[in-house]
Amino acid sequence: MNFLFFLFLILQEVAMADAMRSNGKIYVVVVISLIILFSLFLYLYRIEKQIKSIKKDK
Amino acid sequence: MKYIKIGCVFLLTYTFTAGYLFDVPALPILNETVRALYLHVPMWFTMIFLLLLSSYHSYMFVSKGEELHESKSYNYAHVGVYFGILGLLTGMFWAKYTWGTYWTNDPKLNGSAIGLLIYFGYFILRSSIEDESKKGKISSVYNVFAFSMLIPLIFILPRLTDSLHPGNGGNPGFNVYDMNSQLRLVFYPAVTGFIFLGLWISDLRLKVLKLK
Repeated sequence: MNFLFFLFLILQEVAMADAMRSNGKIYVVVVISLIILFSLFLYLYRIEKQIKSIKKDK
Repeated sequence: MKYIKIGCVFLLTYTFTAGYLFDVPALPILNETVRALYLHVPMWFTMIFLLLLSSYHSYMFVSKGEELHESKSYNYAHVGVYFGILGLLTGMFWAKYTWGTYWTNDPKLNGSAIGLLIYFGYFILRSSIEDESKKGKISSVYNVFAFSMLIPLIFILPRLTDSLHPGNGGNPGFNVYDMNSQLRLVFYPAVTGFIFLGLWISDLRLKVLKLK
């Protein structure tokens, strides 16, 4: 029974997003998440700058 | 600190590109969601790392009595718990589409939820004591015990029983069945990158705390 189950796992077609990648559309997702990531980094950097300037004023 | 920030930017950029584009093993049920490994698991690694730092500083405060250790330990715990909540939320969403439900009575899930509740207790305890000297000491001692409670809840107890969550039920965390070399290629940089991000945010928060 167990063996049959594993055979089933091996033989079945597994749906992956290969088509997406061949169309090149996955790059859209990559760019979008990179935009978010970099804006977050920029945000952190700006907060750091603000803290530094407050420190100088004190 | 500067190198940590630069490293964080590089490693997370790599994670968010390679994480989508590199080949992953084709597994039934999981399908493409296996990529969530690069985001969900580093949340927990970062949480554990920051909470370890937090309990270290609590221990140092109790033994040395320097105020800086206390604020550091509070700060690391705060950021660590944020990452823990993110880990819980991402895990719930992932579970919905692989296990079919947001929450099961799995020892790993319940353990991590209880672990986070213990840390909520730390914040409530710390903010409820008005006396400054007592506040630091009592909450630091609680924090050390909170971390020593978290380890059995997340790592030991789930391995003693059966669990749906990979890396449990008597198996070590990183065995050959759970992860192959393709996944490791992105997974380890992702973990390091997110730990660096956690350190960066804690550094910012600590600067704000010092200004107050």
